[in-house]
Amino acid sequence: MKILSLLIVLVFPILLSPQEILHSQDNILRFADHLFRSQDYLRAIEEYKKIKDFNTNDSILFKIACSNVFMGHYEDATHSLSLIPENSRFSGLVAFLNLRNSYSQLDRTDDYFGERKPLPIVITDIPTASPGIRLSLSRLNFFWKMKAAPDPGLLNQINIFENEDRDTISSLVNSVLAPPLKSSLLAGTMSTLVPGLGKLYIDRPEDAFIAFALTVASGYIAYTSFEAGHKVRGWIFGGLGGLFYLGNIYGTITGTEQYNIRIKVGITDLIDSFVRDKNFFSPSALTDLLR
Amino acid sequence: MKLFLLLLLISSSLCSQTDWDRWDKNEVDYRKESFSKVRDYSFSNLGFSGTLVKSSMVLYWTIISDVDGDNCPFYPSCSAFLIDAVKSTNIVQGTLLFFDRFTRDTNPFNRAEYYPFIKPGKFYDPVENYLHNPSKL
Repeated sequence: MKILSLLIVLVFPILLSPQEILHSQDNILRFADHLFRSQDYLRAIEEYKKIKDFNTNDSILFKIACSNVFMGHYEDATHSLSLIPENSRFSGLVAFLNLRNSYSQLDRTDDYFGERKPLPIVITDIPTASPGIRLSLSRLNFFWKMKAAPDPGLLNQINIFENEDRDTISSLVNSVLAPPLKSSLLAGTMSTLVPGLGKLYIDRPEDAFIAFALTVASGYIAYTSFEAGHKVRGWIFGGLGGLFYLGNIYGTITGTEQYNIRIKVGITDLIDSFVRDKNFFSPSALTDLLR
Repeated sequence: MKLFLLLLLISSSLCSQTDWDRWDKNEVDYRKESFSKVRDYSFSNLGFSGTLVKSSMVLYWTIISDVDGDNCPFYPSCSAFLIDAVKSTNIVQGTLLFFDRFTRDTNPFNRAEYYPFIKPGKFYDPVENYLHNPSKL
């Protein structure tokens, strides 16, 4: 009797309590959100896709899109962002993520220091979005324009940034508009006049000295050989001197091109690292979602 | 003056030699090497000028370089650089690129600032860096 009553007392509450299914939709969503907040975006996407009718739920679609953007899966991100309806409450953040995706995708090896190209994407203001999202959008839009189609008019828009960042940003804009490049024609001419002078112009003083020494040494040996009547030796060293001289001019011109590309890549790295440090000027609505 | 020039050439070539580094203790590394050290002696896909240059280089490799050892501080070596340069451009441009490379090779100062370091103890300086093609660079 005692055992029976004990069993009833223990088993009865268990029978009354609702049976929680481990893999219920709520649990899957909770786990997926946990993975998303832990930045395990690939697994988070897999879990979100297990939810029934996930592609009609704008919140889940938005998190899948975020995950793709943060992982740098550009094409998947573009596709995911296109699935979110325009009248969704995330429309402002979707526009921001689209811009961030495009910014990250812009190949830095494109010679965007050259002629101005039209913007591949036109970013319009989203009046229905919150002021915070609109400010973030305009800030990232500024850097998108600086990367895709830099223009002197950008300097007039600098007031959208915090005071502490304005000096840095204006120097970045000026370096993009007028990068400190060297002229390969001038470098070649300098090397023609004085062997090695062009290499000094492109900040290679050691190469300049060696080029000068080799050219002058070969030329001097050729001269003394001819003076002494050793014509064969004279022609050999004269030929070598001539090749060193011409090689130095050619190497200076190609070296200048290398120097210029190094400058441009350095500037783009500086801009990209600045934008990444500022977390792409992400709005607080997005950063709150990630916590 | 002649003595000075001779001393200058000897000292710069001594400084450029990396012979003595060969016998230093090397760290064990079981990673597969990303580039092949085996020389390419074939004459395939070469025009007339390429064949001319390659044959003189093969002669140089056989008589001098294989006996003297691998002393060039750069990868590819200067002889391989000449062949690549002639293949990529023409014999005139290739020769000028080679002489510029030779000048940079004899410069023993401050190489690490300008060239990336590639295992095993060589600086990476391919022909593509000098071909007027910004996308390749």
